[in-house]
Amino acid sequence: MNNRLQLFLTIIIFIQIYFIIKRIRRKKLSIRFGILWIFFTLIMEFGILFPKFIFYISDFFGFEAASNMILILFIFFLFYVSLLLSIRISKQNDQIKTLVQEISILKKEKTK
Amino acid sequence: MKVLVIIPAYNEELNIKNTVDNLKKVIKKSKYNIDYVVINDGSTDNTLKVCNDNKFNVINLIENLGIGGAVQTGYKYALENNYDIAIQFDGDGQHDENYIEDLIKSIESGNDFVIGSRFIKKLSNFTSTKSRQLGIKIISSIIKFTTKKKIYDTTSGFRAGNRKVIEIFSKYYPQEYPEPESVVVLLLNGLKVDEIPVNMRERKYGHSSIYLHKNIYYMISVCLSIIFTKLERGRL
Repeated sequence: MNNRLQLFLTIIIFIQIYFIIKRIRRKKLSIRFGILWIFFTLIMEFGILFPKFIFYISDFFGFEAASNMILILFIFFLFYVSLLLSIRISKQNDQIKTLVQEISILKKEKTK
Repeated sequence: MKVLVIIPAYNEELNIKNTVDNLKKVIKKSKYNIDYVVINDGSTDNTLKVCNDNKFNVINLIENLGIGGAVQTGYKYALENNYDIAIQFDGDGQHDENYIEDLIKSIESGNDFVIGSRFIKKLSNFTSTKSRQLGIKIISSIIKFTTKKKIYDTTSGFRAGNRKVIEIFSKYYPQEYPEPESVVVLLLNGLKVDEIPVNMRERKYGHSSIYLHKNIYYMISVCLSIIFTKLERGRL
């Protein structure tokens, strides 16, 4: 990987981190998910700065190409995040359901 | 004995008046102290207006929750207002109000939960498709396998429960296709469940909420939820 490409990708990474932090600061993103995304972005930056390390790991595990390993890792990561989101949504569905029920019962009692 | 009839209604503007009027006749004649509550599940038609115009006792859900959430609201209402028995009764007029007393009597005789069944004695010419009958049979055998109890009409929504049931369902009631799973929850918690024969009618207006193309999804969803409930040993 040549230096120009590394610089270019690093700039993109920093823009990404900037947007994540901006959203955390404006309370648009909870710190819990914010840390997850920043951590993931920093891992990407690590791979950009030290591509030899990536090649070493991928050789060690027997991938034919380093890009295959990165692809599979990305898929696992995104799968995990989607699962996390599904769990959160299920929990929130349940909370919303309880809210709707309690409010509706309260409203009824008020009009009685 | 205070009895509450829970009537979930979603877009039933054509059926709800008849249903409640017929029910009121039975309530008037009955020796039991029966109340009713309509749960309007965020209907997009005039269900709420019909209820208010006729001064029906109605809880208006501020958002649509689906059948599970609506029925559970009824159980929570029953819990808060200290009812001894809660009866689920569809708003579409399919259930025959004349069998409500039979359900109450069965609870009084010591059952915790009673299901109004279409199948244990032929009281109605209730017709359903072959695939639906097969589906009900499969669910029935899975319930037998997980709880050792044979329930014939697993999808019946015409059911009555005592105080114990009201407490359990207020805490947990399945959201999607709730009937079979809720029975399994009760059985695994050691409650006494029984079935009595009832008559059911064809619905007058509108369509049932279970569509044909959803049948396979329905079966998978119900079977899995029963198995998961069993794995959790009915823990709430």
